[in-house]
Amino acid sequence: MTDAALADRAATGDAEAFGQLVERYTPVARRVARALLGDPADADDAVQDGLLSAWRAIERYDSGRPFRPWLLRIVLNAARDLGRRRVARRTDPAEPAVLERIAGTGPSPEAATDRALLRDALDRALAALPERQRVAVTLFDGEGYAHAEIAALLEVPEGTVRSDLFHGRRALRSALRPFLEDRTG
Amino acid sequence: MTMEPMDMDMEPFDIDPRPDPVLGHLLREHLGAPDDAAFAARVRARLGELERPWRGRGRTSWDVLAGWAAPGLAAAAAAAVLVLAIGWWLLQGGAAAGPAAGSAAGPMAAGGMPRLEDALAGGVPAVLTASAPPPSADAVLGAIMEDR
Repeated sequence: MTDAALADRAATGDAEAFGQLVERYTPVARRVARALLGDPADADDAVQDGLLSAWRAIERYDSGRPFRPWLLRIVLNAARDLGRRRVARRTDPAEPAVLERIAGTGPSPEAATDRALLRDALDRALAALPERQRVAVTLFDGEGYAHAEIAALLEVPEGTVRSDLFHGRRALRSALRPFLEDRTG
Repeated sequence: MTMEPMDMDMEPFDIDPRPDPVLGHLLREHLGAPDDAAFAARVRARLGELERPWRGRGRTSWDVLAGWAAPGLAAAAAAAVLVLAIGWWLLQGGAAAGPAAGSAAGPMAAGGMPRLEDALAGGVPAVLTASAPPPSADAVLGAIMEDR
């Protein structure tokens, strides 16, 4: 069943229909919220808040427009709100890397360390990006969204999305260059 | 982890219109959280807990007006009954007050209160002017009733 059909049924009070949309978009919503907030627990709180807000507001959804950007915009707003509230409670980005090194996940201790360092570098690089660039790169490269859809979601012109992508990708590639050169060269 | 080489040397304003598979893979792997299904199930369970007045999409303005019709008709009927009752009461009161005009007993007999001018039409009773301090309300009322 299409998003629009499910959303129409949800708008009449059908929680089961909205539940199917929740299942469909939970993975991408969690990844985008994580890109925005950094902390996985905060990201999950924001996604839950956002999805429940969308359920309360489903009657206001215009079924003539795409559902996905509408839903993700609500999740993004929830993440922004939560980020503002919890700005002082950020997780140290080095922490997961240290834990992974101690746990030694992966095929070998060296590989686990490399992996942990890569995660650490990615965390830092993402955290250093402006919010819009983070979202644009995550949705375009990570999720395969079109420029137009990202523009609708962020409520900015497509040209701004292209510019954000350019700068965001350049910063991430630069931060990850040592790891990727090792792997590819 | 299997990765394809990515374009490291992007020229300024040379925006690749395709997603970067290596960067995308890294981002998905890094940002992904465990057990999406369990998370979605928790959210779904909370949907039913939310109480809200569900209005429902697809209602036309006629539906809304129809919803108002029953209470509106009831209110209009109650108002009509009230207006008729007041009108009837006024007509009855006017008819009863007609023949007794000019005396205090008329309105009293009809169940109303006498006007002060009617009550004192025959002069102020002596009992009210005989004492130096002003008469009490009981004395005034008693004098008026005796005068009837």
